[in-house]
This record gives sequence, C-alpha cells and structure tokens, in this order.
Amino acid sequence: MRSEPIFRAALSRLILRTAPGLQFLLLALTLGLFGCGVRDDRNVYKPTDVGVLVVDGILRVNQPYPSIYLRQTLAPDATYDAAAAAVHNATITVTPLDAQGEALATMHYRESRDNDGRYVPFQLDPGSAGGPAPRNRIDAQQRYRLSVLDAAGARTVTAETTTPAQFRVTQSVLLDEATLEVTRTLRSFAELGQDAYTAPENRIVYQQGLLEARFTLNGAPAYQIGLSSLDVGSPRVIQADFLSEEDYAKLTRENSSPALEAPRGYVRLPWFAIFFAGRYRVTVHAIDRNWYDFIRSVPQLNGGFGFGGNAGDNFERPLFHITGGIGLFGSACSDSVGFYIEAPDTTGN
Amino acid sequence: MNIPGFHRPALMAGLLALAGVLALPPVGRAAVLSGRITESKSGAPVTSARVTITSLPLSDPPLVRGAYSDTGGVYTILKLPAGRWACAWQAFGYDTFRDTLSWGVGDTLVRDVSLGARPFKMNEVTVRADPYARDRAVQPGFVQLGVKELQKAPGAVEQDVIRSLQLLPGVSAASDFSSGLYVRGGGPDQTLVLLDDTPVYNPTHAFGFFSTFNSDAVRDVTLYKSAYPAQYGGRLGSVLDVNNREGDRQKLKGTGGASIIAARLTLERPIDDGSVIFSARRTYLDPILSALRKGGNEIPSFYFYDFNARVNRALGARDNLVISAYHGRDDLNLDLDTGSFVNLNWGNTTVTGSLNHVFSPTLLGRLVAYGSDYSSDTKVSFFDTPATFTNAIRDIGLKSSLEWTGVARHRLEFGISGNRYRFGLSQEFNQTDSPDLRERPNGGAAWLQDEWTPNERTTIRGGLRGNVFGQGGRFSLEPRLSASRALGDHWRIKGGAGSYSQYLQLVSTEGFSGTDFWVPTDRTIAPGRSYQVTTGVEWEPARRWQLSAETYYTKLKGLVQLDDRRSGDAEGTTSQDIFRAGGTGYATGLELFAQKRTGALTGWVGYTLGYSRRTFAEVNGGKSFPPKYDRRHDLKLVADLKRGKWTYGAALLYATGQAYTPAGARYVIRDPATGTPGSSDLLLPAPRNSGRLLPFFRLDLSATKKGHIFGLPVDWVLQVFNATNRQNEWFIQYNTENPDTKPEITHQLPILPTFGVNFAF
Repeated sequence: MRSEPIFRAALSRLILRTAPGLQFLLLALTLGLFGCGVRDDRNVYKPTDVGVLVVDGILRVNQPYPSIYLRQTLAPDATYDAAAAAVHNATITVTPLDAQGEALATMHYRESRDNDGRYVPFQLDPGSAGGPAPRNRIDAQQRYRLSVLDAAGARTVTAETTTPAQFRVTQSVLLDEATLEVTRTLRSFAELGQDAYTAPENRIVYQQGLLEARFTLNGAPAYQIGLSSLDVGSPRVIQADFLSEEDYAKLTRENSSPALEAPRGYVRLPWFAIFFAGRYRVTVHAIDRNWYDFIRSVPQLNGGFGFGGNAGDNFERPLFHITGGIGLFGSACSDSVGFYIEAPDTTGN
Repeated sequence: MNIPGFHRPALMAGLLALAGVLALPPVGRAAVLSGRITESKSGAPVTSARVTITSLPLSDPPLVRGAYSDTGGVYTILKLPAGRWACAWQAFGYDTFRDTLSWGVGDTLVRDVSLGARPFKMNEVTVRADPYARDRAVQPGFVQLGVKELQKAPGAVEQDVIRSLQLLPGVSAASDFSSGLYVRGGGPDQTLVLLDDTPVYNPTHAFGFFSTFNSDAVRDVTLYKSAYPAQYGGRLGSVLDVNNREGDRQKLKGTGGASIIAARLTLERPIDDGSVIFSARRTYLDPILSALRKGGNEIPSFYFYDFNARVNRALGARDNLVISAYHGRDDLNLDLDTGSFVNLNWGNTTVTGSLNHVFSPTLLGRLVAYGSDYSSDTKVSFFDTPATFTNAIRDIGLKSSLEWTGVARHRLEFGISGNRYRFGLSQEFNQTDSPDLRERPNGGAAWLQDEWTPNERTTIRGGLRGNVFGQGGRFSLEPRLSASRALGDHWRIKGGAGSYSQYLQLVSTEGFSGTDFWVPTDRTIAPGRSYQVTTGVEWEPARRWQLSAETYYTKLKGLVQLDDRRSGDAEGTTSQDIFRAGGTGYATGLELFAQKRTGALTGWVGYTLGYSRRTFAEVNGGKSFPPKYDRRHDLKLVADLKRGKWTYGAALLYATGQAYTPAGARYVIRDPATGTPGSSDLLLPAPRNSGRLLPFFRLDLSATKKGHIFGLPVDWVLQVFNATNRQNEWFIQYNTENPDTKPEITHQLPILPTFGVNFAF
C-alpha cells in the first residue's frame, strides 16, 4: 500500500532507532506520572441521597403503640449528629385498616421533648377532628398504615405492615453438644416470672452444652433473636488470645442475630454471641416481611459485610418498603426466655 | 436423569458408521498423495507443515499443488494428474525435505516423512513450527502462547500461565491477588478452562494468587477471547485451552527451579514408542509461617502442591495414545485459640485419556475420556460454635470427533460428547445442617464444523453445536461462524460470530477463590445465553512486526447473581432460591495490539477500550450498572531485551480504576431486635458501582542471567513485582462505628522483589 513505507519510516524513527531500554523507561515514566492519581478521601463518597426522610418504628403485638422516630439522612462523610438528623413538627399517624383498606381508627403522634426526632402516640381530645382513637394495644394479624407529612407539607412518607400471628417459645432446652440430646429443660417466665433467671435449671456454664429455643411456627417469614446481658458490670467470659483490648472494648451487652427462617421450629444460640456472665434475656421475634427484608438487606444487621469492604458487591440499597423515604416500619410478635451464664471453672477443679 | 431423545450408545453407533463411510478411499481417476510428517528426533507429529508439489517438467506458469499437515502430522493432496512431481515438505524450525515422485492415473501414494529439527534463528530468537496456524488465520480473538512466551513475562514470585495471559489486550485481572481471567468484559465463570481437553473448575492456588498450571509442564496455551468455534461449548464468553507437553522421546531429561516460596521438578524420558513426563511443585512456606506463629502472631499454616503426569505412546502406525493427569490441593489451617480455628482444604484432580486414530489419509478420529473433580471443604469454629461448608463437582465424560479432508478445500469436523456431573453442596452451622444440594445431571453435545478455503486468500469456518443438559431438560442450538481474507501479502481481515449457552453457574467472591463452588441451573430459571460478534484487521508489514485491531460485542441474557440477602438457614435449594436471575448485559470494545517478534528487543503493546454493563430487575433499582471489572482503558506493554547472557523483562500495566459503590448518605435506625441504638451508623449506597478507584498502574521487572552450577545450565532470575511500589487500591471500607475516621482503603501488593533459579539437565 502507498502509505506503508511512510508509516514504516515513521515507526523506524520513533521507535526502532531509540535505545530499547530508553523506549521502555520513557513510556513507564509517562504512564507512571499520569497514572498516579492522588486520593482525596472526600472523593470516595457520592452524596446522592442526603435529606431523605428516615422512618424508624416497630409495632409489637400485645404492646402499646410505640414511639416512632423521624429523621433525615445526612451527608455520608459527616459525623452523625442526632440533632441535625431529627425532623421536627411533622404530622404522624398510625392507622389500623380493615380488610378493604379502610381506616378503623387513627393513632396520632406528637414530637417528644427529647428533640431527637422521637414522636410519641397521644389521644386526641374526644370530639376533635381526626376520627376515633384506637385501643392502645397492637393486635396480631392486623394491617397498619403509617402516614408522615413534614412541617412544610412538602414531603410525605407512607408505609404499611401486617402484624404476625401470636407467637410463643414453647420450650428452652440445653443439648449435649455431641449427641444433641436434651440434658436439661429451662424454666420459663410463665412458670417463675423474674425468678427464672436464677432457677438452678437456668444456670448454664459458659460454652457447656448447646442452648436451643423451640417454638411453633406462626407463619412469619422469619425470626430474629435479640440478646440482652442484664447485669451491667458483670465479668467478661469470652476470652481468646486473638482478641485485643480494643476488640474487648467493642463488646456490647445488646446484640441481635441475623434473620433466620428457622424452618424446623427452633433456633440455637451460638456461644460467640455470649460475652459476659450474669443474667441474659433472649427474645425471639417472629417478624413481618418489612422487618425481615430490611435486616436481610443491610449487611451490618445480617451477619456483616462480605469480601470487599462495605463498598463491595453486597453494598446495595436495602429493601425498605417505604414510599417517599427510607427506614423501617415493621412489626413483630415476640417471646422471651431468661437464664444465667456462669463463668467456667478455670482452676481445673 | 434421562434426557428425551438423547441416547449416547445410539450416537456412538452413528458416529462409528459415519467413520466407516468416510474412511472409504476417494473414488475417481485422479491420484492421491498422502502421508504423515514427524519430527525425526522425537517422532512427534509435525503440525502445519507445508507440502508443496510442482509438476515436472516445469511449465509456464508451473503447476503447483499443496497442503498443510494437521495436528496428527497427516497431509493429503487430492485430484492429482499423473506424472513426475518435485515435492518439498517444510516447516518452520525443521530442515526442508525434498524428493521427486511419480505416480500414475488413479494411484494412491503414501509418503511418510521425518523432518530434522533445525532451530531457525534470527537474532537469537528461535522460531518454531506453528501448530496453530489455521486457527490463527481464521479465528478473530485467537491467542496462542508457547511456554517460552509464557515464561518471558515477569511474574509475581512464580511464573504463571494465567498471569501471563493477563498481559494481553482484552484480558484483565480483578486484582494483584487474582489469577482469574476476565476476558472482554466477562467474568471468570464465563471462560471455559480446559487442561488436556478436560474442564478444570477452579484453576487457582492460594486463593487465586497462582493458577493451577505449572509452567514447566505446559506446552502451550490457547485463548479464544470470543466467538470461539463449535468444538467448544458451555461458557458464555471465552475458552482457555491448556495443553501439557509430551516428554522427550530420546533421553532422560530434567528441569526444575526454586523461588522464594516454591520448588518445582520435572522429569521426562522415552518409553517404548513414546514418552513420559512427570512434574511436581510444592510451596515451602510452612517453616517460615511456623516461626512467625511462635512469635505469638495469628499466622496460618498454608501450603499447596500439584502434580502433572503425561504418557504418550504410539500404538502401531495409526494410533497414538495419551494419558495425562493432574492433582493439586491447597491447605490452610489457622488455630486461633481453644475452640476457635479455621481449616480450608480445596483442590482439583483431572485424568484424561485420548486416542488419535488415522482411519485413512483423509480421515482422522479422536476419542477422549476424562474425569474432573473439584472439592472444597471449609471448617470453622469460633468459641466452640462450629460451621462447615463443603462442596464438590465431578464431571466424567466422553468426547469423540472426526476430521475429514476428503473433499478439496474443505476440512470437515464432527464430534459428539456426553458427560455426567455430580454436584454436592452441604453446610452446617452450630450443629444445624441445611438441606444438601445433590444433583447428578447429564450433559451432551454434538457439533459439526466445516472449514472451507474457496481460494488461497479466503477461509470460512462455519459450525453448528447442539447442547443438551439434563437439569431442567435444556436444549440449545448454537451456530458459529468465522472468516478471514488476506488482502495482499501483509493485510488480513477477520470476522466471527456465535451463539453460546451456559448451564453451570459459579458462585464466588471476587478476589477470593478458596470457597468457590459451581451449581447447575435448574428448570426454575433460564440458563445464560450470549451472542457474540467480533471483527478484526491484521497488518504484518514484516516478519518482525505484527499489528492488529479488533472489535467485539457480546450480548448477554439469563445472567444470575448470588442472592446474598438470603437467610443463612433458608432451606430452598432451587436456582430460584439461590440466585437473582434474569440478568442481561453487554460488553463491547476495541483492542489494539502491536507486537515486535524478533530482534534483541521483543514484546508488545496492547490497548483496550471497553464498556461492560449488567442489568438485573432486583439490583440497583433495575438500572444498568458496570460490573466491578469494567475497564474503560486498559494499556499493557511487555518487553523482553536480550544482552549476552542477560535477558531483561518488563511488563507495564495501566487501567481505569475498578468500579465500586460509594456511600450516598448516612443514617441511623435502632436495632429492631433489641430496641437499642445500633452499634454503628448505616450507610445508604449511591447507584451501584458509580464510583471508580484510582487508576491501576504497575511495573514489573525481571533480569535473568544464564550460568552453570556443577556443569548444569541454570537461569538465575531476579524479579521485582510492582517496581514503583504504586499503592493500587483494592477496596474501600467505610468506618461506620466511628464516622470521624477516614475511609479505610485496602491496597494491593506493594513492591515485591523475589529471586529464583531454574535448571535443566
């Protein structure tokens, strides 16, 4: 081709007659200089969702109407400031609905004096506009609607939940780790009230046996365990060479499990969830779809982040089931068991 | 599971019947010249040798006919007039053999030829026979590297086959730690990896840092980047075909080497009518790690090893038998404390037996029986809470193919295959086991391919492949086409297209391959499909230079993504339970490649401009997003400079930063299970993978000096990985417990100087 000699001559001048080592060094330096960007920490954020309303409310069956938090999202690189996040003077209602979606009554909310975005239920004066107030108790298998209107009347948030059926832990047992046979049946709150914590059957030596809570499945999509160490100041039982003092300082007395489907009607408590000696309350929550979807889609609440840090592949927008905002408006029916953790005898006796 | 209409015995019978028909001698009055070309020293077949015959006495213009030998060294020239002919058998790297032959009307003449090896030297660079000339000519996106080329590029501690391929345009790595292949915008699960015709399901050691292929045992590596031909199937994107080499057929030989982490030894020797070769490799980090553990650190014990063996033996004049095997394991143990430990063990085993049979000068047959087994076993315990995760895949199969050259200008290939998988997946947490996944689907395929050379400058390869898969009763029909045309003596244009399907899905974590597992897609979701088109132009202005440009476009559908939002104790084991399905996507790009093949300085420059996108209804609000391995720009430069006893190597890589998902907002929600404030803030993600890490840049250098120890030739090798100590970013961790803390950016490997020695005897 006509252009070929010209092209080849150019190649010869530019490449072939340059010292081979120098060619490479020049290219490496050029690319190295242009390739080496400088990391500005602010560049790793992308504030796409700042100022979005955040709802935080859980209806618990057989309990009064709960407080509901209304906040807004802050910039991702900002230190979280509860006061800055709180949304004030909003209008919030929770409404039980009938099968056709018609309101049966309306529970109104007002802002608490804590100034932290918490709203509490209150009864309107009889005869005022706003419809009849409901009985101050959350019913099982009842559909509820949350409505939020901000002070400016510009932003609305709505969400619905259907509460799970009644739920009860039928039995708590300690299993032999090797044979999985029941070695002991724990006493319940129904039998002993608060004395259940200290009943001899409920005193368990740390890491000896396997704690199992049994229940009848109630049709809930999933279950979650809340674990509370009640004796503040009790000694730590978890001990390992690979944990540093910094790690120990992060241990908390309130913990929760990932979402569990518990298809066989029991959950087993892992020993790595127990950090301290003393009284423990384990609450098994039969949770609704909103709650389940939320915790299973927030890696921090569902067993931690996978490989790649929290900006990795599983960093996805959670399943909120909320229109006009984000957060959780869910429900649960819960039951608890109590026991006492004793530190193991380390003297060998 | 039985598949309607798929009866392996019936297909085999049909294949044999067809072989019988095709093996009949050509009918007619014209003469036929055929034979087998072998290497005189080793007896190995010489592939792509050119046979040229010229009618005597010379006419004007002279009457010239010719043919190339195939992979078995067999050549055939049909429809020859009777007379005297001057014949020449020639191949790069061999002495040309000449003879004058005569034949009469309708004669069939068999002329076997042995060629003496004659390394063809041009400025210290050895040019060898090219057994892949046909593929190279007709297939766009075709790359073939011999072991010499593979060993040229600077490595990361050990020479590695897949890391060498990552230096080519269109091929990239997830990170410095990864020997996974990301080809033309596809993930590592979209590349079929074959070792001696046998699938390898996790071709990595050390969590992906090394590949399973010991470069001492490898003869060559072939990569079809896209639009691969009909004899391959089962993956959406590309094919990596690794062939181990034959042992020496003349004398006992040995090669080996040692680096700072591993030692290798290969022994080979002749046997009756054949050869045997055995390679072994093992890391010896154990004592170092043990010493570090005694210092009170939580350092795991870790090692890996692998073996390769291959036996070649001629069974008479018409048959050649090859049996090869691979076995490798990785083992990691971390004893943290009483009741707390981590134990991982995983590895592959493959066995292949292949028989090549010459039915007639125009008909070759090949039968391959193989078995591949991959298993991974993970045992973890924290504070006496045990968890186990085991998975295994076994693939046992039979392949048979015929190659017929009985019609001038056509090379017809036909093959069938059948295999049976066995998948196993089980997990247990805190003495509660989840339902096991146990599946044993059958697979099968039949393919037909014709390579037509209508004239000296044009080659067209068309094929059709049918696949069946028992799980879900799947069937797919996949047309394949590639074509090339030479434009003058220096230019060639190429094009290719094809349809592909994938019934197996890899569940993996990017950058960590120890617990990868494969599962079959069942009837609950559609299998993956892809449609590829690629075009290219090559310019070879002189033997020392080759320049090319290629474009590619791949449309993907039926993609899946692991549903990591699933509850840990969920019982469903259908594909619908495990995956988010129905994903679509595309990958497109332009590759530029310039290679200098001879002279003191050899090497190449490759550049890729790429775009890749994925769309899932359940991900990113249904909007498309780039996968993490999407690279807009990818530049690679590889150079090899010889100076006396010294050889200097350099590899330079520059690429657009990896995509990641930035944090879009910060918020707080109480822990619903305890009603207390959560222990940390929560972050709301911005659109998926809408951020980019800083551009990737790495310069690797090596220097090799030839010398002797105790009379043995040795190569002393010094390598510097990431010579500029560039802190390439790997991933970002936002600190949500303490928002005052800056994001934690984990970097890839720093500068890593290593040394080693290679020897031969």
